[in-house]
Amino acid sequence: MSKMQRHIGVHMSDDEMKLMEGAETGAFKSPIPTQVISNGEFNPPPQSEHQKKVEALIKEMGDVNAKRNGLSRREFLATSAGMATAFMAMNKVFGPVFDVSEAEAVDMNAAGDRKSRFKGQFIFDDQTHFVRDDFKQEGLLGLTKWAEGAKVNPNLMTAPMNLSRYKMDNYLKEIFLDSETTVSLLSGAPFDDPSWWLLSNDAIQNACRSVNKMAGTVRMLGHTVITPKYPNWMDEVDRAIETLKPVSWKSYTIGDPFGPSKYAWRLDDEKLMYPFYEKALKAGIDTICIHKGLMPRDYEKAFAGTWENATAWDIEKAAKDWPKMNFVIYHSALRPWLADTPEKELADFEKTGYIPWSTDLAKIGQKHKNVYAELGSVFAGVAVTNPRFCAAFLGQLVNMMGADNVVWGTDSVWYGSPQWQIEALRRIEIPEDMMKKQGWKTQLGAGNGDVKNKIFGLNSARLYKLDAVKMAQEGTQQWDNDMLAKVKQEYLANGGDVNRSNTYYGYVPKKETVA
Amino acid sequence: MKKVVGLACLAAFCAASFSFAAEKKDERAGKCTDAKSQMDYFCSKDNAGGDTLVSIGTACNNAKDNVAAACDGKAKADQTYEFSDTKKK
Repeated sequence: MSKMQRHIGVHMSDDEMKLMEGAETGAFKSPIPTQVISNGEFNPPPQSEHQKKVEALIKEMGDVNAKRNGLSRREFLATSAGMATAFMAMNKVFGPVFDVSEAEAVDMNAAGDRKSRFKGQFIFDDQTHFVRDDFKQEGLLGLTKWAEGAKVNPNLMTAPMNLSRYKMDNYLKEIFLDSETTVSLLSGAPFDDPSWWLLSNDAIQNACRSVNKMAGTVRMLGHTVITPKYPNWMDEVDRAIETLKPVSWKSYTIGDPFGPSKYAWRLDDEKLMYPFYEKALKAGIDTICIHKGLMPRDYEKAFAGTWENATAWDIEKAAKDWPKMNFVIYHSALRPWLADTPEKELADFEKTGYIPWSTDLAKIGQKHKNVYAELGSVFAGVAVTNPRFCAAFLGQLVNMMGADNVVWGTDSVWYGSPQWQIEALRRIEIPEDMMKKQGWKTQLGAGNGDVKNKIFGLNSARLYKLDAVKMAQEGTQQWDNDMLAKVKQEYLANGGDVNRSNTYYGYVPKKETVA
Repeated sequence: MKKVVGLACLAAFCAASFSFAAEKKDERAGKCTDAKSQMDYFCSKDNAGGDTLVSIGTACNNAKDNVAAACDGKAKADQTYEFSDTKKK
């Protein structure tokens, strides 16, 4: 690939580029990632031993299953049975983590059976975003580029790599047409640099009103972002209570999710926060969602002076003092940021049973039932790259806090459509040896079993005052024929769910350069 | 006597000025050494390959602002979180 042919944004040097080849030709076209693909901003590591084993198994099993169905391996791997084959290969390498049967990997009709099995499952996405139309900060695309490099979403590149993928129309497509999400909670975020502010509190509520009016049902709920320590922040709280009427609050104790901020604060700051809790409860808006965790490995250096505000250490006192306030802890306070290696965290967990800082949260949740763990970004970060670590993380939350206190969230639309995350949660299970070693009693169970149904939606239905009992009994009946459902039917009838090509875009090391 | 009073006034003025300058330092995002540590990390391209936060880019600007505020007493003015979607650019 010549310099002239490089994609915009490629940062590798000429010498580094000589050692690369295009992933579309160099990488094995697998339904799941078998190596890290670079988006051009960093040097992709060679395949790990685990990844090599997964790739070899997919090829071997794919050949056998393709022959049985009279297809080429490439054609077969583009089918749902090919995806099942890939999950089976991952199980053989990482241990039995994904629920997948031999029949699914062979029978081309099994995908249809699976779709009907999950019809009616209520899925509430507790954390979603899009950006205002005049948002110009292309650095935000780093989130999608991570997903592209880590190859976690096989359908990621159905939208172009520019800010249009973060705008409202693509959000609606990715979440409501390309995934089985029933209801979403739309959020916003503050940054020290105002040009990064994603959506105003008014825009969040306007979007909810528009979507719900179009659908004829409640499809989208909205936050009001609060900004403690900003000047006059309580004025915005008063305005929200009076005019915006959000279903819950959203805030960032770290101040700014992407950098060290001058607005960091603590949930248990009596002078700053307790008047807010009092006011919120009086208004009946009794849930606050708090961004926690997601720090780089060198967090003490990178966030010197502020990193403690990202930990779970300020939750317990606030939760104890305000038992009627629900504290939904976003990202489950998991410390490692996306690019970290989950292998190390898994090894540490196997030795000590501790995961920074989600174990701290889980311990607090054991005592205080008004504390919830949310899965946005963190499930996406580890479900496919290290499913065993993902099982450990989920297993600890469910067994310590209880299945009633874990809620589904994806941080869409940063990583494309959330359907791959939904599919991974439906299939994932805690390995037997881990259950035994940790002394856990609760497994994650079937994709539409009690535990996963609670995580996927019933817990959030309770939190956001949708009728959880009705939802448990009737599933998604009230949404099955709304206008959004009709649009989706038409979209699918017109080929909206085209088969994935399994082609990835980016760079991988040339085979001969890998020792 | 006038000389003594004059010197005393000058000393008091200097002390007040020094104290005023010290008060102007904004350490909300950490002390000067913290802010320098933030800048070392987030403004280094070497860290971009292993950390999405570095490649996103806004953290380096935050860190520079924090150094100016905590080390040089040059803090940017605070803004209220109140905006219309078409006004902020």
